[in-house]
Amino acid sequence: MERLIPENRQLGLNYRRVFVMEFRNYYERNQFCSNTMENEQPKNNIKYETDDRNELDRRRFHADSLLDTRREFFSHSDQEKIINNYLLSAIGTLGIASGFVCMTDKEANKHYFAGRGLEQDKIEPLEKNSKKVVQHYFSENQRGISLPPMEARLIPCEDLSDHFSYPHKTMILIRWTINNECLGLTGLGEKILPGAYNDEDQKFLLDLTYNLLSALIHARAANSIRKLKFELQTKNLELEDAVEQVEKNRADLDRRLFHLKSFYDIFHELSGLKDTNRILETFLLMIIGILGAGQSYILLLDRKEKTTCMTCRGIKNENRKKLPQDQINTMINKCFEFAEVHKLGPMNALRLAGRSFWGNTVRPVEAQIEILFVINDSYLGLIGFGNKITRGNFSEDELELLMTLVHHLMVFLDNAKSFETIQRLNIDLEKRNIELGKTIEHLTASRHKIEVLERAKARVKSAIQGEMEKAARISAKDIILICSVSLLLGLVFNYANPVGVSLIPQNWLRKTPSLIDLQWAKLKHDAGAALFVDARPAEFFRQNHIQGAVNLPPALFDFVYMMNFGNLDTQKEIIVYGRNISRHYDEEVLFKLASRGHENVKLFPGGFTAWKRSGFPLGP
Amino acid sequence: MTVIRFVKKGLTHRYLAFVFRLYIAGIFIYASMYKINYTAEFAETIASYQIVPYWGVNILAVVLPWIEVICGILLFAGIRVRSAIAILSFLLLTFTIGIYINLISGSPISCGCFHTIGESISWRTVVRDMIWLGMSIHIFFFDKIFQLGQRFSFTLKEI
Repeated sequence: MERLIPENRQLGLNYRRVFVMEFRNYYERNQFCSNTMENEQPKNNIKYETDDRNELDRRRFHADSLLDTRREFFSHSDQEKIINNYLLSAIGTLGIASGFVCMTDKEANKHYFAGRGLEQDKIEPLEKNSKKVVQHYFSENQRGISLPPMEARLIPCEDLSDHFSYPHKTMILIRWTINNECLGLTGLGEKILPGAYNDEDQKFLLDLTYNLLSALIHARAANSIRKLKFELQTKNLELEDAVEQVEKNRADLDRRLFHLKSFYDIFHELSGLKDTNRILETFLLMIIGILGAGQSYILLLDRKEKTTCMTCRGIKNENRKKLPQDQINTMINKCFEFAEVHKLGPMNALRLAGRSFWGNTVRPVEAQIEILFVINDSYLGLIGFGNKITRGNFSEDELELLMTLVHHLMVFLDNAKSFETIQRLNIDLEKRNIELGKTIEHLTASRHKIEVLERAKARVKSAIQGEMEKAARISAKDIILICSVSLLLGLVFNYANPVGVSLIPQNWLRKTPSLIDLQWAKLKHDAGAALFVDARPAEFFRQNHIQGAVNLPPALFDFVYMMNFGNLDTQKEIIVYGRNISRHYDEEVLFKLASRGHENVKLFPGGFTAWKRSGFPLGP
Repeated sequence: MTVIRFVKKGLTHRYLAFVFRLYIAGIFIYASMYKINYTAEFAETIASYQIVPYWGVNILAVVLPWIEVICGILLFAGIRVRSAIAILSFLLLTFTIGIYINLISGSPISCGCFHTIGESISWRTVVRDMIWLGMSIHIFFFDKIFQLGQRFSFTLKEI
């Protein structure tokens, strides 16, 4: 805006300079005309000089009027005033009795009308039909033909349309255009003084109209500038509001950033901690730094174990009260009752009402702000803050931040508690794993033992089944075993038995006795030269025997010998017979007789069987 | 048919076989006692049958009584019944054949089953031995109870 004003001034000066130049030209042209007239009428010099002077004065007057009007035009920015001034200037300068100006601004959709020296009944129809009047004279514009900009043109009075009720004695009509959107029409009546409009007047009117056009352009530009300025001011105000809002948002963002940074810092610090005490200490240290609190404490209460865990910052030890167990229990019960009354569920926090809440209950530390937070049904905590270091009160933002961080703390405490539980469970699990490992080892050993026993069982079963099968059938092995055992026992018993028998036949150990064959034996029998001794058992002897033979069985040798052979000559020839497949009785008797001193004893191997087969005499 | 079946069932009953088993076991154990104590006399008895060669008579007299007593004990206890009764059946068959041969040949020998001086062999002796042999065969086929070997089946069930 400040820069526009000098520019308008400069514009005014320029117009003024142009106007002066135009005036100079106008003057020189009139001077030339006057010179020409001097040449043509030299004789009437005095009269003509007077007329020329009047003419020059009139021209000067026109020029001055143009200059003033131009000044006047550029001092206004209202188009209606400019039009009024234009009309007044035209009427006043040329001495016209009446006149009117119609203007249509399509951009602003406005119609201007100004009238002077007209009766009221003439003004009203003109004003009412001003739009139509303008449209009539700018019919080419209605047809879409572009109008030449900054143009002013005189319309002869003969061309005046009869359609419109122009004021009486309208002598001249000027059509002017600024551009296609802004059009106008100027109508002027008769002069007050008799006379028609001469060229100078028409020239003046056209110049004046051009000045009007310049002024209107200037005014429209000024209005546009003013409008732009207003819009700019409005925009500036909106911008200031926006800046203010941005500043506010920025402050809010800064606060949020601070909160987030606090969250991040606390989260970063607490995330690596698993011990409850360290979490409390770290949290308290950071929270007093964030809030600028002078004193603070956190108290954890465990309802199941009836224990407390307290961490303080900025509180001297002498100000801390060591509470007995009953007061701790009272405090725990009060806190849990409060949580139950306010339906404070797990992972929720609530600000306490200070001393009115505690009443007569003794607390370890007095605090300005206290927040009760419930982690689970048996585990809650209290966090308290004393006055700030700046001696101010905690703001709502800080309290909101505090509540948020307390929720944060609850999560970490719950995690720590869970971690402790998990650790405890892990230790138990490890112990159980060790026990399980031992059990598995025992089971493995037992299984191995069972497998060995199973194998043994299978073997035993197989052996028993084998034994059963053996028992159920004849076994050569069994028979051999029975026979072998019997042989062994028999040999052992026979060896130990004093009346045991010799297992080796005795005749195998003795000398071969002298034998006698059947024929010799018959001869001896017939000659009675030999005593025939039947060595067979008495039953066989009694059954049949060689005639004249004497029975002397080995079993009864001593008795029978003593009875029957006691007086027998030892030189007497004795023929002994009697043997079978199983016994050589004859040899036994022969050797016994020999042992008794009988030297001429002969063995008859053929025996009774050969004797009988030969048909030799048998019998007693 | 029912009577025949009843008789057949009675004759093949396992308790009858058990009685026969105890009887045969008792006879052989009893018979072996004398034979063990009087080996020489038993050897004479064996020799009187004139079946065994002279070099094997004494050995047989020493061993045979022990075979009898061991088989008798096994039979009584129910151990290896079939093997034991098979051995005893073989002995009975041998004795019967020996007696039969001596009866045919007219040898005036005593039986010697229980004592050296006893009854002479006769057809009655043959019949007696054949009855015992029949009992042995019955035991071989039908004896199934009170055997020590069956103890294994209980053991198997327990296992």
